[in-house]
Amino acid sequence: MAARSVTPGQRFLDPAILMGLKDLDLVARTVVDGFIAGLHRSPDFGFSQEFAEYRAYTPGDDLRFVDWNVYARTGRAYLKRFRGETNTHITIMLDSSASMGYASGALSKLDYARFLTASLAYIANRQRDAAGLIVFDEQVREFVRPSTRHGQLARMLHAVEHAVAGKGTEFHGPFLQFQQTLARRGIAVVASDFYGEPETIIKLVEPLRFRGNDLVLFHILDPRELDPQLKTPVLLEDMETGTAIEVSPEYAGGEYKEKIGRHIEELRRWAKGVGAEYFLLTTDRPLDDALREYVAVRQRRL
Amino acid sequence: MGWLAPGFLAGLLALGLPLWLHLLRRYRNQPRPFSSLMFFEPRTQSSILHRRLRYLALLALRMGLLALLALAFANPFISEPAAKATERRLLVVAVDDSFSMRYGDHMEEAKRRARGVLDGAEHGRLAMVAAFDTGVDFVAGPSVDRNILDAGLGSIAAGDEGTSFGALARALRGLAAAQRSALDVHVISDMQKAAMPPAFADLELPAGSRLTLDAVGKGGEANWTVESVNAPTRVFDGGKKTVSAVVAGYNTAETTLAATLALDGRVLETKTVTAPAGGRATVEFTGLETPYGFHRGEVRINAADELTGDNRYPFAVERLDPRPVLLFDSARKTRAALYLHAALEAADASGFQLEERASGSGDPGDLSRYAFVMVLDPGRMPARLEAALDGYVKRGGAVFLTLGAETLSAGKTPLTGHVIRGAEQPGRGETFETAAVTEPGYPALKGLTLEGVKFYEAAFTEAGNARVAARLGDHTPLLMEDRIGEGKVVTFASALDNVANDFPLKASFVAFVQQMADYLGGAAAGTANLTAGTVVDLHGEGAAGAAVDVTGPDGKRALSLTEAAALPTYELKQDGFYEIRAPGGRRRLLAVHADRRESDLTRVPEDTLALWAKGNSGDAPAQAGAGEPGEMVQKPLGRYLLVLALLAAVSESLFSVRYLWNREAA
Repeated sequence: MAARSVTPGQRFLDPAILMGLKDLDLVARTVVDGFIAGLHRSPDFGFSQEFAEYRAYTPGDDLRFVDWNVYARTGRAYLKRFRGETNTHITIMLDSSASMGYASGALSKLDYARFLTASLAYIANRQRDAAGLIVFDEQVREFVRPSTRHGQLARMLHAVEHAVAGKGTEFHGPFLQFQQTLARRGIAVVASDFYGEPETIIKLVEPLRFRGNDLVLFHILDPRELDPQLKTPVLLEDMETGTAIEVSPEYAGGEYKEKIGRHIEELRRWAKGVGAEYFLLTTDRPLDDALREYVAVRQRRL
Repeated sequence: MGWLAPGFLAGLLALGLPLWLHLLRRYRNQPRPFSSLMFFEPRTQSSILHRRLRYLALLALRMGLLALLALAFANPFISEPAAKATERRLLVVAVDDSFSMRYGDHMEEAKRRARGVLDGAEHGRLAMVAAFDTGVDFVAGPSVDRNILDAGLGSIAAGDEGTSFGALARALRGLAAAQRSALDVHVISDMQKAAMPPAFADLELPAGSRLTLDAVGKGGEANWTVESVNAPTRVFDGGKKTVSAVVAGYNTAETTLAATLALDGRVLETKTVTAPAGGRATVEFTGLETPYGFHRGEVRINAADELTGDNRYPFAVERLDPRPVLLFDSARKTRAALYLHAALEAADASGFQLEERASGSGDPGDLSRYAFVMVLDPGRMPARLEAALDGYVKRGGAVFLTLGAETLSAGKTPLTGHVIRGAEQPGRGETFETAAVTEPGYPALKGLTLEGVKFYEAAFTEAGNARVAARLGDHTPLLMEDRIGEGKVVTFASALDNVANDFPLKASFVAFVQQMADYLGGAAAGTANLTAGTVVDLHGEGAAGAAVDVTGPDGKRALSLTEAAALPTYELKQDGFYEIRAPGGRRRLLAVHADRRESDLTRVPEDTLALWAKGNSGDAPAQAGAGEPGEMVQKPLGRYLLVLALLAAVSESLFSVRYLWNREAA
């Protein structure tokens, strides 16, 4: 059989291709399997059932983790410990506001965020992490409490599947909900387009960080939001407020780009200031960038 | 302002169409959803305004285009004083340059008066100068430049042609239509009675024109003329021939004149003739001896009048040997050869000698020495003979074919290859077909009719590209001519044996045979006596495109090299002899005499002239605006509106392309 030049599964990380897959579970499996296959070729990253250390057997330990090879060679029983055994909580907050429904191509920001959420849930399931989900716009639309119980992945994927673009964005309510349900420290992931004052947003999410949580902000934007390409003046309508403004190409190509660039920098600066991980994603980028960010954050927790 | 066709104003209702398209169905600027406008500011009014302005301009152009079209069809006009319109009247000074203007100082007087008319015109007046005889030449203008007009006037000289006031009026009507202007016409002429058209209505000038008639000379001056000469144009033997001439006097007393016959400048005979007052006398010369070749003859009188050009009458004569004509008789030995022989010999001075030969004979011999060849009912012609005849025709020879029973059975005509689809055989004595000439100008049928000729049998042939000069009653071609190479083949689709038809027994048969012989033998092209102004066909006998050399009465070549190859016809304008050399060495000598109607200088009655002038005094209403002072005339504006509509249409196209491009790009 001829050798394949492309890493298996890697090509499925392209968001545009993932749009063709109907089943969100299949999307998640495709993404994560491809991502993991990519990681195995990388010297910098480890994942899941990686060997961490040996520990002398003490009565009461589970005999399944005894390394019988070592026992055969040395006559002493050792337990083989893996990093994946260190479980954590991960709560994903998915913004489903109206602005997340924007798409310059086939894939909207919400679609991209759903793929991302499903992939993270799938990874968490493999890691036996307790994963939870909050879908929100102006208020909490879906809530799946973090758990490692059987069927948790299906519940999460079901919630993600039914996330549709709603109304405006309101961070306060969802974050309060998150704080109330938080039983132990873990990782909080926020996937949103963060339309709002950076200082306000960060101050709202900052309390999550104070409780010892790792906070990851995925800032999801459409490429045309960063670089609107207008040839003639057009009438633009705000998807959340419904207001319309006629915009000239000169403004969109100049002052607007400066403003949104400044907005992103502010967000990045404010996030760094509170120790949160900020990551800008555009919907034309492969999902493994986001997954790599998440894995890096999780590894730091071990 | 008014409307000449106000009904078309209903077309303004069409203005509602663009209004509906633009305002009721106009393109709505659909807002495009965008995630958030928190980084946008409403600062774009100027560019949007530009687009709206472009949109409104497009609407205005479309409405304007429709409005202009409707208004143009409604034909608006504005009224303006006739005096103002008169400023656009075109002054036409028409000078008679016919033969009669050679009388005394008539032409100089006419030109002097023409200058007077131009002098009298106000400065900057648009004017033209025309010379007219049987035709009209506009020799200068329209121009306001006096030098141009004077130069045109100076170029006018009396010719040898007649006068036609009808032709002048017709040309002026055309001029007024082309210039879209009323005319002030000043006609300077000797006002000969002979120039008047048969119908007075033919003298009508364009509406609104003003006519001034200026007669030169006293009118009715005495004049002698050699009115006509009857001389042979071809002579086939060396004997003395008779030439008769008619001497006429107009407004003259009884006078005895000396009349002289000259040939090539040499006086052959002189006689005296006494003509009655204002009458005619005939003089006959019997001593015309003609050597071989072309000769220039002349009959002249010693009359002492001031119009000398008509005191001589040129004529051309050619001495030549009779030319042999070869006749291939039918294998059936019908009587056709006998009839043809008799018809050719019936001519007073036949230039042809008939040689008969059976078509089945082997060697056709040298055909080039024959004027033409007649083949009677050839049937299946021997290949050798057909090849020889084909070569003869291609080199410029002529063949006359008749089709009888033998050829009918062959199924096609020799040489030309026309398919014979069958025979017209109504049955002798019972039914028959008649025939008619379809091309009266065909040389062999000039002046002839086939009326009364009964055709009992004829070949039903396909004419193809042949020239058909006569047809039977059922449109079957009867007389066809095919051009092959330099020569021609004339086919008569029946026999001449008094069986297939009774044509040989009709009086027209002799004339037909002689004219056919002249045509095929080229004898008609030798000499001719013509009136000045006659137009001759230069390439009729030669290949198109070949140069034809024309030498005028002054001995100089009348045509440039380009004209010699390209001109199809040539007008013989001057009195004297023209020599025409066609390709292949064929020569023609044409004697041209001045139009003898010009010799009668009797003037048109004064009351007739007054009636003509009054009928064209400018009183008639004219759209272009002639009239008395204070009278209002209408000036149509339709064409200006059409020009504006065209501009609007072009602008609309440009605007709509830009607008639509921008809309699609957005």
